[in-house]
Amino acid sequence: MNQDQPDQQYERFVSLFLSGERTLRAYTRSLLSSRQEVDDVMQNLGLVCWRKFDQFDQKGSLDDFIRWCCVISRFEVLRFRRSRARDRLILSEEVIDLIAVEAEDRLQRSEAEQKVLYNCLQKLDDADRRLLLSVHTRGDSVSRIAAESNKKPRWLYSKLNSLRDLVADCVLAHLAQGET
Amino acid sequence: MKRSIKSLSRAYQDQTLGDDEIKDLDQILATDSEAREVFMRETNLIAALEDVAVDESAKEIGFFDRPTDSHEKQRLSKPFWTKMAFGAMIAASIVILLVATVFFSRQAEDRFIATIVGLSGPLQWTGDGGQVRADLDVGMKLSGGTIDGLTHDSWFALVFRDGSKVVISGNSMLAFSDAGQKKLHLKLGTLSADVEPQPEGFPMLIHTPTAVVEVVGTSFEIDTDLESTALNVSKGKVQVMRLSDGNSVEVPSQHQVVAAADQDLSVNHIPQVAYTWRSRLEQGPRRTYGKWIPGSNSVMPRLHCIAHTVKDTGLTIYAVSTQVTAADAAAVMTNPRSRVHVQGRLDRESDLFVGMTLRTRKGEFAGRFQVRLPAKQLGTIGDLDLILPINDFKLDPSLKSMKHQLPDLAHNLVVESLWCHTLYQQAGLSITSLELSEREE
Repeated sequence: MNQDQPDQQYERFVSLFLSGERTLRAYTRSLLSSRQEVDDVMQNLGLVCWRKFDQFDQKGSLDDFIRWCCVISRFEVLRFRRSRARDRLILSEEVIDLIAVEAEDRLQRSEAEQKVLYNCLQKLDDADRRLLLSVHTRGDSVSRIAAESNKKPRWLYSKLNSLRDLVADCVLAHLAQGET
Repeated sequence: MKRSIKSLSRAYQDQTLGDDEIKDLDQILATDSEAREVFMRETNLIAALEDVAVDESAKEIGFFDRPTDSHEKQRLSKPFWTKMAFGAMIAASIVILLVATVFFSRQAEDRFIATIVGLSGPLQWTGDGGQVRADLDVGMKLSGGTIDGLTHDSWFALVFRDGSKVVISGNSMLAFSDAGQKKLHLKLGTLSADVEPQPEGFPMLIHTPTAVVEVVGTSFEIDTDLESTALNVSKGKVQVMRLSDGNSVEVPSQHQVVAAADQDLSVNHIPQVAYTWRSRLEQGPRRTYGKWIPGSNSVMPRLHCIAHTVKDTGLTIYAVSTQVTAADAAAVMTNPRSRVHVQGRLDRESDLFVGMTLRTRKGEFAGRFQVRLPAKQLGTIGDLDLILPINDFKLDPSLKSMKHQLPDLAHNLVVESLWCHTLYQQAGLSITSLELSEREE
């Protein structure tokens, strides 16, 4: 660490990390198969980035910082993956490497997709929105909605898939029009 | 019927894929860039939905208590206060993480026994609890473990808390610990050390497959494989015990010994340095890196290249190398008249790199110097017979960041290994002879 100005170092790191956290999280998510795994990796990522922060070019921009963190994240993911090597639900290291490189190239695009997604979600009614988010919401689930609404889970899963298509198409359409 | 990449990607994120489908997905992603784009788009969508779900949950469990009606809730997908609350959560967690880092780092500081002070080439550290890391960096503190030098161009320098320095290079494997007494296990490769005076009764111990070396404080170099351990002492004195019979000898400054079951354990003066050296593949593959193919009446023994992929870069190197510091020979050095003679074969058109790993006479890493021979310059593929003057050898560009610490020229340095490699593709490189010689005046 830079011992001369530890406070400024610390403040700058926190500022950069907070600003880039969501993008970094999305990047890390593209390399892993569940949010829980991302939580595990992100927990360590903050620490590792802080420990190595003196190696980051202090004149670097937020974009530079995010890209620098992405490289560290990539290694953290690979290390995490190795620790889960017996888990069947993992992609090969070669594929993770390929995706990591390409995901880094599309960081801006990914950010734009995420921003547009919030707008697209506004177009859904409450019920559809709840169904779409249910698989990611603690305490909620498709089967719970099925029980409450007296609808078949299979039908709801099909509907969920359609909603994902709808939102994905909405994002693509907005980006095609140049809206972010 | 095969599922679409979109369907596979979603099922992967939902963790509902079977083993075969995972393999299918992996294969598609490995070969199809458009499929990877779809995969990343779908994953990004899921990641954003997860974020929204977490934001919504945060609202419901009272991270902010601003009353909202359903209309407003619909209008504001990501209310300002939610952002603030989310930011506050992250800020709080980072502060906790950083405070925890400071707290635990003080405790962890006690566990660290050594610091990395230099490294180059592919390396792997296996630490406590089997933790494996390839992303090593200068300044990183280690709490013991095993360092593997994965290829001929690997090099690693470690300083213990008392200032004792240990360097390994090439294909090496070193386990190290310090619980009041430094214990090193050199399973393979070359190690040089500059050891500070050790506490009385607790010398540094270096175990090799054939010997135990006891060091009180000195400078020396060890070269070991399964059959023998060669020790050159440049300063101070070192006690060596041969494991096969338990016999011990003391090796003083400027002396050497070879501990092997089939050789005399005699201590000899380190002879004058040599300026010529030649690989002897007809004697077997000892101290080489590559696939050794024995010769016949009509064919010379040769060393075929082995592929190694560097994890950091994804770069694949097809390399052969041979150590020059033979167990029973003097240090082999370069001078301004040195030249490297390469004989072998290249089956496909490719740029060829010929190089040497060098160190100073004190055992310090002095860099890797190489010549890049473009495919066009090599001419027709087939037999190689190249003579390369020492002045053609330039510092490996990957060592650019250390340039100011390394010599500018490859002259007057100890040659640790000679190597050849191609990059990216298997070009069928094999070597029948590598030789260091001197041009005539």
